[in-house]
Amino acid sequence: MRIAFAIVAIFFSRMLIGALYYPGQDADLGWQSWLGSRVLQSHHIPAHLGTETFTAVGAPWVAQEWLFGTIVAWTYAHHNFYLIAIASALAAAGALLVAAYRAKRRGATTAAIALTTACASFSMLQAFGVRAQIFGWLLLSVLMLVLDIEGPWVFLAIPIVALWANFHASAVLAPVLVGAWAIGTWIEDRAWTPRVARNVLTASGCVLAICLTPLLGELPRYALSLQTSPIRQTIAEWQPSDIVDIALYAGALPLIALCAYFGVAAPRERWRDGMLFALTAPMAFMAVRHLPICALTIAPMAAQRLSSVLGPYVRLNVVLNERLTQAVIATAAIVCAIVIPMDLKSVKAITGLTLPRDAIATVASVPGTHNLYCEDFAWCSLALTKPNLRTFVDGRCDPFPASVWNDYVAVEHLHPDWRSVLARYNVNAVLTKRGRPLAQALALRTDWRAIYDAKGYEVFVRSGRQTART
Amino acid sequence: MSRFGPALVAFAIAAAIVSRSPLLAEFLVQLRDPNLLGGPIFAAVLTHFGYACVLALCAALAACAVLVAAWRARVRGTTDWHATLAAALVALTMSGRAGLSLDPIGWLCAASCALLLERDDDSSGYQLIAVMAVWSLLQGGATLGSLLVLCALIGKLTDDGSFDASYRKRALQYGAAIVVGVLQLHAWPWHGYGAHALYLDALKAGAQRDRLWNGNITAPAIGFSAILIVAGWYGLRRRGRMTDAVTFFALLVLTLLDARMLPYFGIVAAPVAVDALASYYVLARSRPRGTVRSYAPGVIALCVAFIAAIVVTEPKVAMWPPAFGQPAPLIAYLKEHSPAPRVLCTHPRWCDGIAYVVPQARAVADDRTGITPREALKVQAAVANALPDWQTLMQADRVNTVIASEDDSVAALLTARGWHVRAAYLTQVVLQP
Repeated sequence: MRIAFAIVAIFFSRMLIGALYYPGQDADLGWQSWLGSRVLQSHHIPAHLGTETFTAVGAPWVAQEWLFGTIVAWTYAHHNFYLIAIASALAAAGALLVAAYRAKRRGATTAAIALTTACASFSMLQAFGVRAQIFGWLLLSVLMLVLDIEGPWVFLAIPIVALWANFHASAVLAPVLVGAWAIGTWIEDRAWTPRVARNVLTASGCVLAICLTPLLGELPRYALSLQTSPIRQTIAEWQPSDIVDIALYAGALPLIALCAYFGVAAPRERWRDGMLFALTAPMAFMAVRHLPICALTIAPMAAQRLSSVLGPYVRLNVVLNERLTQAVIATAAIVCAIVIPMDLKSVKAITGLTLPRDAIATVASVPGTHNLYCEDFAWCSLALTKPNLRTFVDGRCDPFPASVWNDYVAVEHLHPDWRSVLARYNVNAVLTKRGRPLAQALALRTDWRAIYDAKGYEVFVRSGRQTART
Repeated sequence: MSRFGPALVAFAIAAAIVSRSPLLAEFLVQLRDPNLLGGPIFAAVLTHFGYACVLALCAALAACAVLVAAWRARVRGTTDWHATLAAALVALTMSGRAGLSLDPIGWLCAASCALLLERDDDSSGYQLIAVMAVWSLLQGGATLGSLLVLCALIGKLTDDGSFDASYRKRALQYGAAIVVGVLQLHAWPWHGYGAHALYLDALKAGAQRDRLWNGNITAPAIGFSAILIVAGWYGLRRRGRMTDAVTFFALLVLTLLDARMLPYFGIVAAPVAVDALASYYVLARSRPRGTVRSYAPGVIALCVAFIAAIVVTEPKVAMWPPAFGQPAPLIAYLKEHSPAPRVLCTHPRWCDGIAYVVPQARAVADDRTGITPREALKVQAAVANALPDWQTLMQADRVNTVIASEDDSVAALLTARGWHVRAAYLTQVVLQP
């Protein structure tokens, strides 16, 4: 475990530096803090889109990240965003440590735990941020630990899932995972034993637990509807994972390969593991966002099986368990944990400000109310706090009807009707990246003029008609 | 195997014959490929015997590949049931690309190579060289065969643990097979279809390469997942052969790199995975006990379910007669009005038919991205995505015709700059100044 601690410490420092500078990288925090401030002010969760958008006023909205948004809003209001940044990095590190502990409980050796912990850490790199699902990872890891412990402890899964559901809709996976675990138990016992009954009961409890949110049954309904939503095709995290993704080739794939080589179900009659593997391994290839879920679930299995060849008396493990070796590794980890943030501070992609805050401030400074189209819908999240800006689609994206979404895509990709879409919605301001097709097309039009061109962004406003509502 | 043989044939042919139609365009361009003899042979069949015969030939080749893979499972000591399962898994992985293509030649050759590597004796070594020679003459995937043999060679060294005389002899045979596969006998030293073109350029092509998952749950993806799950449940280590593991994982990585490799992964991995499964169920070795007739309803039901699954998840396969993948009317327009255009297609596949129909036309890039010059790919990507320097690159390359979807950004930008839509077919348009 000590080596695992060292590995997690290195990744923690990498994730912490990313988290501290996250507001400059991800516009989603904009709408999340806006949602949270509304919750704090009105003490209820909004159920519909309001006039902050002009395309879908009144559309139903399942604000599934309400708890996370509230925490973000509170930290913003008190100027201590660093607290939630540290909490996010700690949550990710905690998930890794719990997974390592699960491996240790299963009798995995030092080398095996170290290797699988490193893989699980890599699987998180791509999706990590100050985001609600990071806390979902921690709760998933704890849920898996509770299942591993078995006995009456397994009922703890129900409050864990309830808490998870309040953070993020990925909690709907929990009943499926616990159900698969229960089926695995039933295959192992080949009878209706108390253990099977307990697990089935827990799985049923988890189904109820995902409804234990202020959103009640809306959350699972929302999660199901997302599976067929056209929005998924546009969001990078929902794209199938690719072999060139570090989270796949250095993270989930080696773990899947270890499981495939050693076999997780049959050798020890661990069908519980087999069922979880069958669920999560294909998921890893379906979407980038599932990679950490897969890795955290199967890492302990892989470590356990790997230990069958890397036994406790193999030279590698003997060396790793020596005090001197551990002291050297701990020292190296501390050095890395210090050097990595210092080095990354100069990397603009991590610590720079890449969002169009100035561009949106420029539009907001123009008198009147503006209907704003953002080429990247997430940028419009930054406009929600501007009282005279209304968004076409913003980072919430899920509640916008498919027709609005298709219109948004039509403009972004310059479909034949792109100009009529802008006219139909009375859009009078467009924010694009410089050089992108939409920017090129608007630059060719005489009815649009650029009012902002800096830091890689351009803002166009419609000529002759200053505002949407003056 | 004998009991299930006829059922397997029906099963495999049914799977192969439901063609994924847009591959026709690729097929036509393959026929004109001067480097491989498979194209001219298929072209001769097409000319003298008609479309149906080519389709039947492809189906027969795919069916044979499935059968050889099932045979390999049987050679490994599994039962008829397990061999049938292997066949089903292989057929599932093929279902996305089964149909009119030169690929089935490669599938059959790959399955034969895997079978010969399984036997691992002197005569198989020589037969392997012959198969690799035939493969390299007929189809461009022979380098994959070389990789397969190389993996087997590495795995065998690990398994044997010594570089003894027996291993050295086998290494010589396998080495010859590798060389034969890589060197393309008729196009010495080699003509573009090397490992670089096939695999490393897949990385270069980036988003253009085929992905395993397209966001939907498809029959090939189900086949892939099933093989992975069976391997994950039972473990490749069970048989204690590194050869299996090395080939399995090499093909797994290639499949993730480019989904066109999925059938090859199925052919190589499915027998290994079901063998691991079979090793745990000793009781199943005595089955099946019935006759073909007694199992016929079950097998027919399985075929129906299988075909239904493919038709539901891959709607294109149900289309009959198969449509051209490339916009044929637009290419006909070019033949009539622009005899020697410099054409750029925003989707390279659409340009496949041009070389076949308008011999004087020059396409910037077609679907053979593996052997397309890097500069041409750069122009193609810049224009297709309307990157900031697309106009400069297009002018430098003297492109005077663009075939695009009306939804493509570049179509809107070109019309805004004074180009005109000269012809339209469905959502595709020909744009010229």
